[in-house]
Amino acid sequence: MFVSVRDLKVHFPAEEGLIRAVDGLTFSVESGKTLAIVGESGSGKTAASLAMLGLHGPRAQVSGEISIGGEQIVGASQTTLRQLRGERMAMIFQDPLTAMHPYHRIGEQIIEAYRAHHRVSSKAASQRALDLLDRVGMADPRRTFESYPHQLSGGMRQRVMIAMALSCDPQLLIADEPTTALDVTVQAQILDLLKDLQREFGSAIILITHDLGVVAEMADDVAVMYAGRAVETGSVRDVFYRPSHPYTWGLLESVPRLDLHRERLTAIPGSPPALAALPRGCAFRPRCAFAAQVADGRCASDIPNAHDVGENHAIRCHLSEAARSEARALHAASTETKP
Amino acid sequence: MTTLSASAAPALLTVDNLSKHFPLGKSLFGPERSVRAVDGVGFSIGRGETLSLVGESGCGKSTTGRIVARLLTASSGSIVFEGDDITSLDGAALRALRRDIQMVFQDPYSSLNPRQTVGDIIEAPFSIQGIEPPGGRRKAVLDLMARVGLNPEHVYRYPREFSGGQRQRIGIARALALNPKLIICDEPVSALDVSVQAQVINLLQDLQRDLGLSYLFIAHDLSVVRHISQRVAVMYLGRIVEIGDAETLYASPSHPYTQALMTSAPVPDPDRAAARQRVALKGELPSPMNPPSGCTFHTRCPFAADRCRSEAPVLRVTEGGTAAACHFAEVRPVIA
Repeated sequence: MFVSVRDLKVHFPAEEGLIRAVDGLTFSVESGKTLAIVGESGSGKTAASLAMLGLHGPRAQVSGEISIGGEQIVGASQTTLRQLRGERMAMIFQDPLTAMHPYHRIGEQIIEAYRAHHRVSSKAASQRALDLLDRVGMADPRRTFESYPHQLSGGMRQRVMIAMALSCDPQLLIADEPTTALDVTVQAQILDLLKDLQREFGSAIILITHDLGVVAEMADDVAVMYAGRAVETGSVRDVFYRPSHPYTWGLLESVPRLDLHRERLTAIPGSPPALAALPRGCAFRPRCAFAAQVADGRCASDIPNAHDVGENHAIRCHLSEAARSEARALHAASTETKP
Repeated sequence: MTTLSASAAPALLTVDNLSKHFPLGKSLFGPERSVRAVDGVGFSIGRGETLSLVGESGCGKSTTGRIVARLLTASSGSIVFEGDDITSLDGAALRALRRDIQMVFQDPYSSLNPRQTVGDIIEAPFSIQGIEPPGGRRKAVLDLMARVGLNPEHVYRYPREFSGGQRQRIGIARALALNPKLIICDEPVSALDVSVQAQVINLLQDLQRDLGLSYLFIAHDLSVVRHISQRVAVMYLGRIVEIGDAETLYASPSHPYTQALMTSAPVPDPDRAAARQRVALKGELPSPMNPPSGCTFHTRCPFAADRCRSEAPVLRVTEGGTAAACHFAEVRPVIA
């Protein structure tokens, strides 16, 4: 496995108590594959991705194991991290405007990233920047090279971000909501671009998103996060066609569908919990329709451990096998509607 | 206006040939320039009906909503509400109109005054209009809170003490206070988490059923629009390019832009996503300051021909059953 994360924890001490942004996250990604981490606000998906890059400040307590191509990230020195960022792994952010320097031309910014890792002449670096801008589909690379970020549209800025991220041929690309700020037709172009680049370079992609449609479109594997933990992990087909955690059922049932007629949406009651005041036991219990079916009130006392429900398909849930299949049949019936 | 732009139900609102031009100021020697944010839009909404305006950023959907809510005044065209022309009402007549037409905004963070309690926010419409509801204002506020699923005990709390979904409920309660007939919802669920979004959509549908409300629903999310609308208008660069009954429009869209939107929107089903043929658009949205000649969509359209560059198409009824503004309107499959 190119990327391997074991029992990752990211905690922040705060006045209201310890904030457990990520609390025991385990996953792995192969080269050339895409893992989607899907979750709502506060589920810990962004905190996890920043930990992968070693970008948390000194206040954060990061523990567990993150191995990227054999390099350990947790506890690595700033020098090592600086070298690994860019060459080994790179990040694409949701909002390219805040991720770029407003006063510097696009070309200079790509060159700066490239020359931080490569001892090359400025002419060679400029050529590299132009090639990259061409590769990410800019119609006029020379003009983009001379532009300032504010002169580009949102879609063009996201292409430039991708060009910057690719400048040192990273083997892992972490994309945090890369298309959330874009219109759908532009989103489709950017997702296609990421797929093409992955095919060409064989890089691993970790895609952080809240959009189940983007997950279905892009992912090989999926981790569904809730309140800092992965409540369900599996292949994209397992998660969409054989979902096994009540939260995953809830998510899939609550989205309106372009391709299906739904009479009424099945909403999940309540809202995601505050991380500083997580409920005891399973964090999803207050919103879960099935907690009453679990004996001895275990959902309110014990945090469920991850256990397999199929090959490479695991959930964190106390619900018994029998109760789960019954509930899943119900779920299947409610989502099966005419196109 | 084609017959399909009109609602089958008796119309509550009829918008005809509506335009809004924002002046950009004079260049030194040239003529005065302007952006045509809305350019000849027409539709009607029946009682108890939802019409959605859908399109990408800059298509003019929000501006259209704000003109209908009379937060902006049209440059030309007309808005007829319950038989009265409200296009340029002002003063007391405009204030009276606000009882009938209300608005719910996208951002439940910036559209609520952080220094007012929830009770004061929801009560504001009564004090502005000088209305004393039966049982008093405070009782009306508590009833409204219960109606939208908020705990009436929280009437003295401030907006910051609520989650995004609850704040959107506060905005909805405020819009409902004066028993309006039409509510303009501008992206009311796009800032919310998926699980909470469904709650707010269900609430809007329940309120419509119970109170006979009409909605002008403005959104970019095609899935949400399919779910909530009876009729849908697709906008591009200030114009309606296709309009029709929601089920018909989603089953057999005829305008290439509608088809591009529908084949670009991600579908939460891996097999369907993989099987879908995308109608891919070239390039980016042109500047509305300098829109393309002829059909404004021709610069990005995969089916554009010479005629499209010179002649602007008008809305006409298609074989698919919608009305589309395209010289080559044709039903093309969008969902695998």
